[in-house]
Amino acid sequence: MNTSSRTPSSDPHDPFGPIDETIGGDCSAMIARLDHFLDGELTEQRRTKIQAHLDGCPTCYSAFDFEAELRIVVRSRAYTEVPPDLASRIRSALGSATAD
Amino acid sequence: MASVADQADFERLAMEHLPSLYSGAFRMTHNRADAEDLVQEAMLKAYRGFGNFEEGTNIKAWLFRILTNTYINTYRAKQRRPEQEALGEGEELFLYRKLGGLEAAALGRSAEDFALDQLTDGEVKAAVDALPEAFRLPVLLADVEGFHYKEIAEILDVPIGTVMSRLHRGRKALQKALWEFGIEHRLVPHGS
Repeated sequence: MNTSSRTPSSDPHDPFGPIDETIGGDCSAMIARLDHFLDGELTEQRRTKIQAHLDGCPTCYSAFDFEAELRIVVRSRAYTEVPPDLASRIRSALGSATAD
Repeated sequence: MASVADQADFERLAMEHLPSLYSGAFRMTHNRADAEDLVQEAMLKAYRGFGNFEEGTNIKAWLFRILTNTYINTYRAKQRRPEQEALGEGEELFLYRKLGGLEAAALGRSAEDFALDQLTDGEVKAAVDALPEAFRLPVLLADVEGFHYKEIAEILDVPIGTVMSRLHRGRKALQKALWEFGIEHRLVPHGS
């Protein structure tokens, strides 16, 4: 994995910043775009370039796969169930507000 | 004035988002009573302002914006918790590296996936709750609720660049907290 090269973008986390020249087998440029890739915030063209890199780079693929898995874990386990009586309490409050 | 017909329309569109709103409110207030009151207050505000909502636009984002404003204007003041807004620069792929992922990838192992599977609900919630609020809200809105950057910027009323940088730093801090709260003690024997 090439971790020594730097992306020429002034802000490596700006999904709208220059990217095309940084793509081309550069793993650190991939990692810098990992968030935006997983968040679905890249243009189709940039997404395709990163996907092509991942298809040929097991090291980056493994890191992206881990981050994607982590998001699934956070999303499912940071959830607190709504108390069963809250919906009726709110409907009743809305009813009172309507009657005002 | 709101009518019975408005109430039916509002309920039809808004009530399906109650579970998300409540869970979000709980991550903001950290307790059930305040979370219930916060959601009820936000729903009443949304109902009174329902005339301003444009049908066809994203009602979930609109409701979360009202929820967040209500929280910031009412509950955060009430809690009087000094908020530590600073966060150090974390490391990219912190958890993955900690779990030896970069070395393991070359060997075709996936011990890190096993470590994620073992994280409990309580550990993940504690890690999210431990984030400073300025970082917790963007992480919550993106990673738990699935909002896009632009929607989060509108919900929190901050520029999109601020959303991206807080999200990036908040996620790195979250990984550190997950490591400290949930993983380290399982992997590292006591006394070593």
